[in-house]
Amino acid sequence: MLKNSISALFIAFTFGCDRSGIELVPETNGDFDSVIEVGEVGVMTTVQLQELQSAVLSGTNPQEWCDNNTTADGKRPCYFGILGQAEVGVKGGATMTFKGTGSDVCLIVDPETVFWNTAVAATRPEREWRYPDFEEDDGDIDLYAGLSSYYTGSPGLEIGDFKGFYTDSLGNQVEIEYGECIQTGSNGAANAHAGRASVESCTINTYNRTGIEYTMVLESFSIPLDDGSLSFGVAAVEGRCSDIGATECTLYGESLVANRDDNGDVTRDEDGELSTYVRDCSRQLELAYCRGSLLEFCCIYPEMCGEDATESTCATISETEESICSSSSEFNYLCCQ
Amino acid sequence: MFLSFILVSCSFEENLPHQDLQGTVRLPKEASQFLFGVGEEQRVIDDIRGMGPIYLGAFPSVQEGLYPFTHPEMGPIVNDGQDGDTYPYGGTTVGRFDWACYQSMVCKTVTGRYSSYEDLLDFHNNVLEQPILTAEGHEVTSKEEFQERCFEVLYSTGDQEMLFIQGSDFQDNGDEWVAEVDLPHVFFEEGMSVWGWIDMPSVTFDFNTCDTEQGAQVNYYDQRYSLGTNYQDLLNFPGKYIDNGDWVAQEAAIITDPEKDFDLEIGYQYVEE
Repeated sequence: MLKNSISALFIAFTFGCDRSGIELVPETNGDFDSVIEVGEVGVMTTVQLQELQSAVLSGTNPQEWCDNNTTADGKRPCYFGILGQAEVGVKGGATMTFKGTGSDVCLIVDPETVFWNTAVAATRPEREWRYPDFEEDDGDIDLYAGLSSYYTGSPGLEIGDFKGFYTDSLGNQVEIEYGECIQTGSNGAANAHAGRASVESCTINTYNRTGIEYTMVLESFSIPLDDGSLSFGVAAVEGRCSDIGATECTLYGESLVANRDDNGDVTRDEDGELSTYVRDCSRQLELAYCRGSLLEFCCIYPEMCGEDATESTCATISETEESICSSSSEFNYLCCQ
Repeated sequence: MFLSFILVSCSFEENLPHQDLQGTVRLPKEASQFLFGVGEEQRVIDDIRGMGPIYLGAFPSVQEGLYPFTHPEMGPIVNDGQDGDTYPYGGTTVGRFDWACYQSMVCKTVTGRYSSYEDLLDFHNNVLEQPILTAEGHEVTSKEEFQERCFEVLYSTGDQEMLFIQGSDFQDNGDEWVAEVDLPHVFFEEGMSVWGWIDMPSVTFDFNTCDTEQGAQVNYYDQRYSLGTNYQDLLNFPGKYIDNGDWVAQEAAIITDPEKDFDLEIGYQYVEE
């Protein structure tokens, strides 16, 4: 008996070692840079944030809105872009700077697009989350920020951090975290980061540091497997994130697709910035998530959600694309036509 | 073969740079005195049972000039308005805050100070003259009532589970109080300093190092509150917590051999000017 158990354990270990996890990392490609330096962004007002939301939900490309508007100090107020997969062993991500205002500044980053855990309860699963999410189209970005003077990376070349070292009088080295972007987990744990496709935000107190440069680091934690590119939106907004209510429903339209020329190459403007458009139907997916109508949306547009829904998942949904696209429908905002 | 594998595993030397330190802490007899009460009611109480926890830490060094008392060396200031972190190598306490079964006792009881329910009742009724009160505001007068309440609210079956009545940490050594201490799993650097202080009670018998909003929660019928515990960063920022009347070690015990017992005197009382 013991001999059999040990043999089974050995075989289990052998198979366990056979899994590398490489299938969870997309291939690198030359279309998108894995490290981006955005430059300086201005700190936008909450009024500008609302204008951005309205414009994007009305069909404006968020990248264009950010390029065509400025903050009071003449800076670009936000950034929407696409990151590629970094090579193995290299951290990828985007960096940008902003200047301290002397008050609180809320930093928000929203990676594409939305993610939810499927409700799988045997009895009465939560209606909103009953339809499964397609996980391979979501990415994950971890947000860090701090004084630029503490940043160890090389903008546009290498992603760094805000860690420094203190050597005590006995020669013992202690690592010090100079990053100021502290996010709290649901269990109260400090230094938490949100998961797949979820927005991250933190408040930076720039009191007494007016005009002092801060660096934001958007570290790409995972790149979507379906296309090897991770689009995102990011902004620095006046005030505390808790007052602004920085959520998944703050920045819309972050699911971007690069325009391509006849040769299939991604197109860029004269400044080297990618030319993009918002992925079809992704705004509606975000709205469905934010307004509690994911089940209706996913049952009508299953290609935007997942493929593993059971036959009964949509049994209670009577809406069709035709019905929601009529102007009188309460779900008209979900219409992708 | 499986047995051999287990035996080999057990002999693995991890070479961790941590050591268990043992030693003694000595306090002058005056350290058991504290002021209690306000105005004309104020008086000096001399009773070792009223002493708060003794906090001990292992640090790279202690320095003068940072505070009116010696203080561990500090790293760089990272946050505005806050000292640099001392980055301690380890630490322990002689006595810790414990909950003595009533809300009125949150942050008022320290382990290693009392030997029985009667001892604790005696201190509050006859020394402080501030009786222990029930949730209804009645005085707790008997050991039986106290014990029954503790068994009930802590779901306990024996006095051995009541850590606040397990006897005194201190021995009377003539002119001094002496306590044996262990600092477990301390990161060892030759020449490091063991230093500490005593949190003495305020005139209202409160302790500066205890946070009444933290700790475990009691959830007993309509009684819901925190049981209190020490702040988490006491050894990282000692200067933030040492206040008027506390006793501080003026000279640290230098550790060169972790196998050798250290001896630390906490002999300076900080009095605010």
